[in-house]
Amino acid sequence: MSHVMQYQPQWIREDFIDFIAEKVNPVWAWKKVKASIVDVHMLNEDFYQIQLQPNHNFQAKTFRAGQSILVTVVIAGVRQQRSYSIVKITAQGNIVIAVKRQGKVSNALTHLARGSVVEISQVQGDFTLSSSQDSILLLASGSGITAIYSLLEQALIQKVKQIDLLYFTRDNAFHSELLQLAEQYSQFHYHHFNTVAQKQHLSVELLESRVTDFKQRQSYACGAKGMMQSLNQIYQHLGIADQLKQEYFQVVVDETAAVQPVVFLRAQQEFEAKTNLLESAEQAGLRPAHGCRMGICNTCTCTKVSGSTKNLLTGEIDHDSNTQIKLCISQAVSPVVINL
Amino acid sequence: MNMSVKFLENSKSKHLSAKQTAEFGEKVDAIRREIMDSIGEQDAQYIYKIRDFVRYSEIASRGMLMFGGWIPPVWLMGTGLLGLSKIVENMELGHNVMHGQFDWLNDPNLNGANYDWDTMATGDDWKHTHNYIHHTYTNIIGKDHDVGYGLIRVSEAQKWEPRFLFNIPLAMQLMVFFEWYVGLQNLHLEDAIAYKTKTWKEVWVDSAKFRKKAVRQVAKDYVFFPLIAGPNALPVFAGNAVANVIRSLWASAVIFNGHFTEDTETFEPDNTETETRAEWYLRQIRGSSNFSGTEWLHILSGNLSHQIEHHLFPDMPANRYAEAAPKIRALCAEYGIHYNEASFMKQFGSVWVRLAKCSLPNSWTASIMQSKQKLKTLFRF
Repeated sequence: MSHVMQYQPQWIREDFIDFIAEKVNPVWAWKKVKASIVDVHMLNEDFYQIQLQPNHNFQAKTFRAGQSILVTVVIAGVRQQRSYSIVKITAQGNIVIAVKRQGKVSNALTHLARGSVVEISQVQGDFTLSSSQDSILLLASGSGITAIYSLLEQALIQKVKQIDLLYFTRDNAFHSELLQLAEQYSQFHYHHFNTVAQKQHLSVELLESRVTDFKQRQSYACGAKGMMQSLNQIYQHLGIADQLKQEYFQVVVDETAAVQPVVFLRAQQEFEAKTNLLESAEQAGLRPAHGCRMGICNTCTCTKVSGSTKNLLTGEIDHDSNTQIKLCISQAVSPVVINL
Repeated sequence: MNMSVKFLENSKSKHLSAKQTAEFGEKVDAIRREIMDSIGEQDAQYIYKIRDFVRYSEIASRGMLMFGGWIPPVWLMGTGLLGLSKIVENMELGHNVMHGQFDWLNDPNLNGANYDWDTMATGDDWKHTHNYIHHTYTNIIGKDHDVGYGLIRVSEAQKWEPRFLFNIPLAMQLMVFFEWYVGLQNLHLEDAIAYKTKTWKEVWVDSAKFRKKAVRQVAKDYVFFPLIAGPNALPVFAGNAVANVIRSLWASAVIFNGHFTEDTETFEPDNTETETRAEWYLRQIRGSSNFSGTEWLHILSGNLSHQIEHHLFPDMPANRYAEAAPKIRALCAEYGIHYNEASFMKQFGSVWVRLAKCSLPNSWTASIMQSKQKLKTLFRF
C-alpha cells in the first residue's frame, strides 16, 4: 500500500494534554488556539462585532489586514467552523471580528455569553494588500465589508493615493464609519449603494462612471455570489483578470457538469454527486467531517483513491490517484472513489 | 445467476430470487436511513462519555499501579482497570471512531482519518486491512485476511495444510498475543514463513510503520511508565503487560465470536465486482454472528456483539446498533435469512468446535462426524 502521508505515531497525545489543561482553565491548550469572548456589540440588527481574547498560542504579529480566522462553535454536540474576516487586532492583542447573523454558526456565535471559550485558528488567507500601489479599487457586498474595511484601514495607513470603494449593502453595516473616513481622508472615495432603497447591480457601465481609471487599478473584492460572478465576467472580458484579488464566502458550483457516482470506500456507501462532494454526500444522508465549507480549514480533507475532480476555487482538474482533496470545494468530473 | 457470490450448500438461509434480494436490500437501506437521520446530540454525548471514561480510568489505573503497585490488591485493581480502560479504548472508542462513525462531530480528535489507538496496529494499517479489505470482502476466502489471519484454519473451504493440526494451540496463542498479530497482519507473514512467496527483506520494508508504532507502544508501557514509577517499576511493568494481555484476550474473543462461530459462512472468491448492494448485505449477514448480553457487555465489545449490524452499517454510530438489531432480525425472519445470534458463551464454544473440526482435513472430519452419528443412533435405540 502506498500512502500519501508518512505515518508518524503521536508520542505524546496532544488531545490528552489539552483534556487535562482545559479542566484547569478552559482557554489553556498545548498548541491549539482558544479564545474567550470579552465583548459582543451590535452594529445593527443582525450584524455583531465580537472581541476575542486569545491564549498564548495565537500569533497576532503575523496578522495582515484582510486575513481571517476560523471560529469553532459547538452546536448540539457537533463542532461547526466558519471563517470570519478580522476587522482589527487591538493593542492588547484582542481579535475583533464582525459576524453577520445569517446561518446557524453565526447565529450561535452571536448568542454566546461573555466569557465563553471558543476554539479559533491562526490568522490565515492571502487576501491582503500588496505593498506598493498608488491607486486601488475596493468592492464589497453584504458581510464582505469586514475584510474590505480592514483592507481600507490598511490602505490609509500605507498612504495609498487613490482609494475607491463600491459597497452594495442592505443593512448599511459600517456605513457611518465609512462616511467618517471619507470625510477625514480626501484620497478615499466612498460609493455607497443601499440595495433596499434602490436595486443596483454591478456592471461595467457603473464601474466606468464611478471609477474612470478602474482598468489601471489593482482591485480587491469580497462579496456575495452575484456580485462576484458579474465582477469576474467583467474582468475576464476586459482581459484584466490578473488585477483582481478576491475572497469568496460562498463556493460556486459548476451547474453544467454531469452527475457522477461517488463511492466512500470505508463507509461502503455510494451516491450521486451533483454539486460539490460535501453537499452531495450530505444530500445522500452521509455526514463527512467538515468545517468552513469553503476550502480553508482542511477538516474535510481526505484521500481520493481514484477518479477526477475539479477544484471549484481554482478550476483545476485533478486526475491523480491517492491525492488529498477537500470535499467542500471539489466537484466530481468522473466516477470518484474516496477513502472515507 | 442472481447471486454473484456463491453460497455454501449447508447454508441455513433461504435462497432469494433476484427480486426478493433487491427488495430485501431496499428494506435494509430504509432501516439505515431511519436511524442515520436521527443521529445527533445524544450520540455526541455518548461518545464523549466513553472517551472520558477511557481517560479517567487510564489515569486512575496508572496512578494505582504507580503509587500502590506493590500492594497486591491495589495491583490487581490497577491492572484490571487498565485492562478495562484499554478494552474500551480499543473497542468502543478506537474501532468505532476509526470506522468514521463519529466523523460528523467534526472533532479532529474523534475523526476516523486521524485517530490512532492504543495498540500495536497503526491506525493506517488497520484502516486498510480492516475497514477496507475485511469489510468489503467479508469472509471471502483468499480475499479477506481475517479468515484465519493466515495463521489458523476457520473454514472447511480453506485448503488444509499439516500446520493446521495445531489449529487449537495456534488459536490460543493468537488470542494471547492478539494485539501483535493485528499489528503485523498487513505484512502477511505467512507468505514469508509458510508459502515463501515473500522475502524477509520485503517484510522489513513493509513493516516501517508497524515498527514505529511498536516502538512507541513498548516504550510507553514497558519503559516510560515503569521508569517514572521509580521503586514501583516492576509492578507497573507487570501490570501493563497483564493489562495488554487482558485486552488481547477479550478483543480476540469478541472478534472470533463475530465471524468464526458455527453457522457463519465463508464464501468463494467469485465475481464480487458484479455483486449488488443487496447481495453484499446478504453476504454480510451470513458471514457475521451476534451475541446477546447486558449493556455493559455490548459496550465492552465495542458493540461488535451486534456484528451483523456493524457489517451492514460500518459507519453508523455503534451505540445505535442495538436499535437496528431487532429490525434486522425481523427482516431476516421475514425473508428466511438465518440471523445468527446466541449467548456469548454459546457462540464462543462453537468457535472452538469449529476450530477443532478445521484442524483436520475435511475427509477426516466427515468420517468422524459419520461415526459420531452412527454412535448416536446406536445409543438411541
